[in-house]
Amino acid sequence: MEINEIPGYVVDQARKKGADDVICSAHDGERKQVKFTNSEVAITKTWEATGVDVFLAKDRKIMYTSVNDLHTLDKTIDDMLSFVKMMAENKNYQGIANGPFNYRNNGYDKRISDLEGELVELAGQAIDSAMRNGGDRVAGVLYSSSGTLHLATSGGVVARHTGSDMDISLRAFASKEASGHSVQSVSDMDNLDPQRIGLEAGMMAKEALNPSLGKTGKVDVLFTPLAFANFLERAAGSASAGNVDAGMSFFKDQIGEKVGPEFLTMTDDGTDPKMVVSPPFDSEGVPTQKNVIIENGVLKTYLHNTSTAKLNDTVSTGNAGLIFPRAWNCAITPGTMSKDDMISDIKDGLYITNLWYTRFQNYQTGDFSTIPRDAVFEIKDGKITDAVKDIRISENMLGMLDRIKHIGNDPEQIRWWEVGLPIRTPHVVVEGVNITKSTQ
Amino acid sequence: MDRDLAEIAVSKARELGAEYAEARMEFVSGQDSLLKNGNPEVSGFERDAGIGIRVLVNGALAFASTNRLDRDSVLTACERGVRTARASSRIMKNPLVFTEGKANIKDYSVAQKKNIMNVSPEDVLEALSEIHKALPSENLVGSFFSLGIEHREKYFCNSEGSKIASSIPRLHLFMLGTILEDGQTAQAMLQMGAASGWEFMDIDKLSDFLGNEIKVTHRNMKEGIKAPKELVDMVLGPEVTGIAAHESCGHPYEGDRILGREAAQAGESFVSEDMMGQQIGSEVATVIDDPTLENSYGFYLYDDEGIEAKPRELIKNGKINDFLHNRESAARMGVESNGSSRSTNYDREAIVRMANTFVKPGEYSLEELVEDVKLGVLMKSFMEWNIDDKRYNQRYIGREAYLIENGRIGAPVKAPILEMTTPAFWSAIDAVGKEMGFTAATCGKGEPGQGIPVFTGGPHIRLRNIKLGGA
Repeated sequence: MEINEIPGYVVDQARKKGADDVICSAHDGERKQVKFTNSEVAITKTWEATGVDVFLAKDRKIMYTSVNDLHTLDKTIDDMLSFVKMMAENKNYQGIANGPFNYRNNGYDKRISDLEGELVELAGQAIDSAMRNGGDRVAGVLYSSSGTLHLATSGGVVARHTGSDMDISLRAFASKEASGHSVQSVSDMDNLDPQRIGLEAGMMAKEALNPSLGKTGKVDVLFTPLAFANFLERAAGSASAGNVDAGMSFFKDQIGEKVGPEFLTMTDDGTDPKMVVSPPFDSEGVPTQKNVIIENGVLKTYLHNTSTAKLNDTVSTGNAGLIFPRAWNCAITPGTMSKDDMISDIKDGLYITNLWYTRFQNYQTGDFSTIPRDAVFEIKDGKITDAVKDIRISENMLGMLDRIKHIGNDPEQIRWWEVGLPIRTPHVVVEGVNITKSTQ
Repeated sequence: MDRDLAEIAVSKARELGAEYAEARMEFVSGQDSLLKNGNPEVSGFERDAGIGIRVLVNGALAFASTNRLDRDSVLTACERGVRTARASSRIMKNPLVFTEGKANIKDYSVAQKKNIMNVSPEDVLEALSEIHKALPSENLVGSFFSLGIEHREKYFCNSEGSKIASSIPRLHLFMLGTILEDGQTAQAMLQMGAASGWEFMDIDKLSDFLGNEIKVTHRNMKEGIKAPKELVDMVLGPEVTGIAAHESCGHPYEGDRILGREAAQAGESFVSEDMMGQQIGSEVATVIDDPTLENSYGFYLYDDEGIEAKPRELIKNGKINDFLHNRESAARMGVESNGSSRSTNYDREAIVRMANTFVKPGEYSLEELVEDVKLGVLMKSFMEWNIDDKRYNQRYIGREAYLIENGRIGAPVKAPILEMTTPAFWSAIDAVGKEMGFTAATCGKGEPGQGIPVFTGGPHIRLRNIKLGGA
């Protein structure tokens, strides 16, 4: 059986054998990576993978599975129907979407899937650029990914989506404690600019030389897109109705409430072709759409699949994952200020270029801390001054969103090791950010 | 499992010109169930199988994986690996070498009293429901449980003649409890795990443990006082001792991190190669990483490069004593691999990882550690934590904590913050307890990410003259 025939076959067989609702997707794809360390290639990697995911409901009992041995499909269906009988009813389950639906055409850059030896050359361009512009050594990774997803559901959906994208992430060191990091994610190969990424990271590393110990207290902070993306990823995650219900959202009970300044508008947009994750349909086959999560500072909606939408007396937002609703990406609407204007506006603050290890004390209250990494600079009287190090942000997510002072005019798409969801954000200034550091 | 496919891959890679080749086939069967606020949300099972092939060609390394386990697909992956390694070897200035290998031949498994492959989704959901029902419900306003079980069969072979087969069952239980008191919430995030059969799921024991964690978290919310502002002595429970051993000793002692191989992802280390032997902590501090602990969550006997596992004393009596190595980092530093190469699945490159990292026990009971503390805080467990990517500045916020006054444990202390540098932490320890405790955790590293099972642990330890953070 060809891979495109599998979802229809699984849905038909499972329905014949007694399932109420069935979703089956089959995927086939390739991924390649060049990982570089100490300014040269550390390893090249290639992955080739085929797999089938099945969601099945019978008498409001739910089961899912992932298998990659395509010869065991019949046994898998039998096992699922046998297991599902043993389960208890999920009182929250409200069914899947009824199609069919019409989908928009999605762009696909076939050149990306053909890349192989060129990836080493592209990585080399990034490394050379970083080394020419201030880096003493460079580490990072370059990816190319391509694949096709075939979907069928018992709700009458038959759909297919092919996608491809590339990511580059590069960290340049000018000394052991002076580094800069830059990333880029694209779905059109012509937009990949490894030399710019190398240049940005290299220059930042050079400017961050000889950092001194940072100070504690509450200060205004200008975040780069790379840094601010960490917060937006958590905000998008908190908008999932599944996380709200699981106690893992700081947006619980906040619909209709003010959660940010009037100029804050945050979206999830599965229709935006420039975002590297923007499939035409969700895991139930519902067409993806643009969802305004926060509009003019007010939380407008959670992200739903069919089941959570019905429970909340609304309609699906086209965000079904196989089990729980999920964001496809997240963006905030740019403002009008340039980065330089925002720096000029800060009397005594910090410029933070990257963050890592964000951990919550309480997902519902949004209390967390995170650690500035790579270049961090003080801003004094509207000018960037000295590099600093060894500080931590100890904050609350809702408080941070509420204290956004400026949103810049220079959005960038961010996806890398620390931020898995594609985020588009400009530079952002947050007032009164609480900075702590080691006491001894 | 058709072991011949792995052997064919290694032979083919050698034939194509690789100076070294290895293949790792893995078959995984598993299931997961979620219980949300007592409602059985969903159960799932997974059957995954594939092969990862790693080759060294003219000093350049490549990894190729496929989950199509037929001869043609495996040979194609092999060819691709050799081809891409050869391409990158043309621009390599420092060709890579591995430490010399010897052929290890071994077949091992974890014994199970009740085989997890015979456990049904009904058994799993019933276990979760029983635990949920046994929890104190008065202040528990939200609960989310997940229980994952897997059985992993692995076959590794390489061009040096190693042939290692393993069969390891693992269980992982996670609970997020949301506790309400006077309009405020607190959350307890709890993990348990083991390389074991279903006998690990001792419902009474697990219910008692989780129920107690809910109770103490609630008591802390209700009765907790502010942490002292003056210098205090800290007594840390095994959970906090363990996370510190993992984050500020295990990670910075990873050979690949020290050499910069993870620099753009998990970061580097404040420790450098030339610091070996340097005093980093007090003489009573010894930290060990031991993959061979029976039934531990991070258990293995041979690593994913075929090297026999053994305990590693990372800090010995306060001195930097050993780093964690695979064959690449060991060769770069001119030592032997100590069997620290692990991957999460056939489709991930094996890299330097911890297994079960803990502070070596000493001689003191908890009472003895507390009895000569004038003013202190006993931090038994933590909630929020993190550490910077050079592993120098760490922070742990206490979930269950108590004031110690004149040698006696008193009122709960609300959210004390231990925020200090790594050398200061290990140097402040003046006494080490004798009763060990371990916590299961999932350690993140690698690109793409690899969340690998580990234990963190140790006894109670005492740190003198600490200024708590959060100012």
